[in-house]
Order: sequence, then C-alpha cells, then structure tokens
Amino acid sequence: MSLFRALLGHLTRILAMVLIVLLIVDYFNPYMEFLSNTAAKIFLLLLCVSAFLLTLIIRKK
Amino acid sequence: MKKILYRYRHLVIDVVAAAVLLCTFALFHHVLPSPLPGPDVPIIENDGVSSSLSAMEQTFQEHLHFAPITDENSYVSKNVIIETSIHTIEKNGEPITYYVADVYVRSIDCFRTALAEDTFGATGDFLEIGAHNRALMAVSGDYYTWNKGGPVIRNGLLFRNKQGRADVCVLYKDGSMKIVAGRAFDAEAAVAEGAWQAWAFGPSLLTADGKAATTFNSTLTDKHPRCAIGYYQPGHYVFVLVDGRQDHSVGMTLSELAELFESLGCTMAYNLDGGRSAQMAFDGKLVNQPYRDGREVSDIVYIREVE
Repeated sequence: MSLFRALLGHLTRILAMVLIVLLIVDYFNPYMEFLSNTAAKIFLLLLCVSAFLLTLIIRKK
Repeated sequence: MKKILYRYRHLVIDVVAAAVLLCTFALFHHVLPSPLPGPDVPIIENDGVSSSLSAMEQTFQEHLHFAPITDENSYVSKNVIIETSIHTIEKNGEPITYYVADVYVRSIDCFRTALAEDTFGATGDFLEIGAHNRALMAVSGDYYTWNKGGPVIRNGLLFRNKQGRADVCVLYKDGSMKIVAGRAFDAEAAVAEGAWQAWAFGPSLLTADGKAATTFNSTLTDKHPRCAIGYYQPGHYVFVLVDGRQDHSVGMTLSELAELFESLGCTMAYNLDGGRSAQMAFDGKLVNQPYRDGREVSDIVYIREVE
C-alpha cells in the first residue's frame, strides 16, 4: 500500500507540474490550444483520478 | 550540491519526469506532422458550385489597359497582372521596410495555395514549395500546423473542419472575400457556398467601412515582421510583407499594418502568419529579408499562370 501511495504521490506531482506549465503557455498563446487538445484532457483526467485515490488512501491511513 | 540533490531526490525525479512528459507532448503537438487526411482524401471537395468569373474578368480587363510591361518588378499576361514595389518609411525615428504586391487575376484558378510536400501537416522550404508549384509570386500562409484550431480549406478542398478562436478569412470561387469570427464559421457550409480558400490566423485589420481597426482579435499586437492580404474587389488583391526585428526594419504593430491597408484603399485586410515565417517571393526569388533567414512553413499563398 505504501508503494502505491508513493507512486500516486509522484504521479500527482508530475501531472500537476505539467498542467501548470500548460496553463502558463496557454495564457500567453491561447491559439495553440495547449489545454483543449486530447492529450491535455487526458493529463487532467489522470490528475483528478490520482488526486482522488490519494485522498482516499490518506484518509484510510 | 550532491547532498541537496539527494535530500530532494524524489522531487528532482518528479521534475525530470514532468519535463520528459512535456517534451513528448511538444513533440506530438507541434513538431510531428498531424495524423490527418492528406490532400488525396479531403473531407469535402468543392465541385458543386460553378465559378462565376464575370466580375473578375471585368475587373481584369479594365485594369489590363493600364498595366505595366513585364520587367523585374512586374508580370503581365492575359490572365495575371502582378506589380511589386518596395517601400521604406520611418515611424517614430525607426525604419520600416515593406513590400507590396498588387495582383489582378482573370480566373480564381490563378489564385492558389499549396501545402509543403503536397501533404497536410508537413512543413518545407518556402522557395521550394513555390518552385514546385510554379508560383509567379508567393507569400507565406497561415501556418495551419502551428495554429491547431480553425478550418483549413485549400483550393476548394476542406482539410480540417474545426472551429477556433481566430478570425477566418474566406476567399470564394467568384473572387469575393469575407472575414468572419472563428466561432461563427461553418466550414462545410462555406465549401457548399463555394469557398476556395480559408485561412485561420488573423486578425481582420479593417472595419466594415474600410477604416483601420483599433481593436484586434489577437494578442500579437506589437511590432513584428508581418504578412497580410488585402482585398479590393473580385479579382483584385494586394499582398503586403513587412520586414521586422532587424536594423533596416523594426516591423509593424497591427495598428500600423491596419493603417497601411486603409491607405491602400482596401475594403478588407487580413493578417497571415508573420515573424520568421513572413516571406515573399517573386519570379522564384525572395523579395524580402526574412528575420533570421526565415523558417520552414506549412503552406504558401501563390499566384500562378494558367493555360
């Protein structure tokens, strides 16, 4: 369980960093559609799922 | 240093992983060609609308009497009249060099666009694309691979049916032009109405009464190298190329570009991709001096001779 929690923690941090970068570049150049393409939406979905699971694990602990 | 790295090794690993993920994202987002239909498989082909050439032919015939002879700056035939000129001005003590290509075409078939390597999503050398298509005069297009939103209609073929935020400029088979808001543009309906070309970069530069616009649907309003197209009437167009970010020319803001088109007397004007992409060729040679020798482009707008 601790390994799973550690992996989820890493995944959440990595995805958060990626989405922060995409948010910043999208602010400067919205025409590139950094946030509205499929890959960015998948990142966002994965971030939501990993954050949700992480909160469950932390609560259980 | 090593101690710090070791202490925060988990965070360092995460940062590296995020960087790798972003690089992979960037590779697929704007380096590799889009996995979209090529020119052999357009979504819609515009063949159901007959081309009404009367207005274009009339405009052409009227101007043919005043056209210059063919020389190093001009090209005149029974189908095409191109007059190029170089202008150097000074604004607020800063030099600006711009190039104007005044174009009359008898048939819309003379006014074409080309994709790099004849492939949707590819990029290539500007002059090579022009030479491959026997362009008399060419300018860089809207770099549709850079701008992921917006429709792509080229020579009557609909390649990308996607709405975007940028203004859309549509050239119809009858030679008329229209500029519409990106979110209000229906590409399939436009093709059915006879759209011949559609660019999605912008913004529109003039108001409905031909005056220079004061607000623009773009964030790139500062001084830059510029490439733009102006419209007078069916069959009569003007291309403007502005050098920028260099000692001999600092470039133009969108407001300055709009004022230039107003002074040229255009009824509509539309900004295409500028910066390093901005290039103009006449008779197979570069007319302008692109910033840092230019860059590869995904498409060109060109004028050609027809049999």
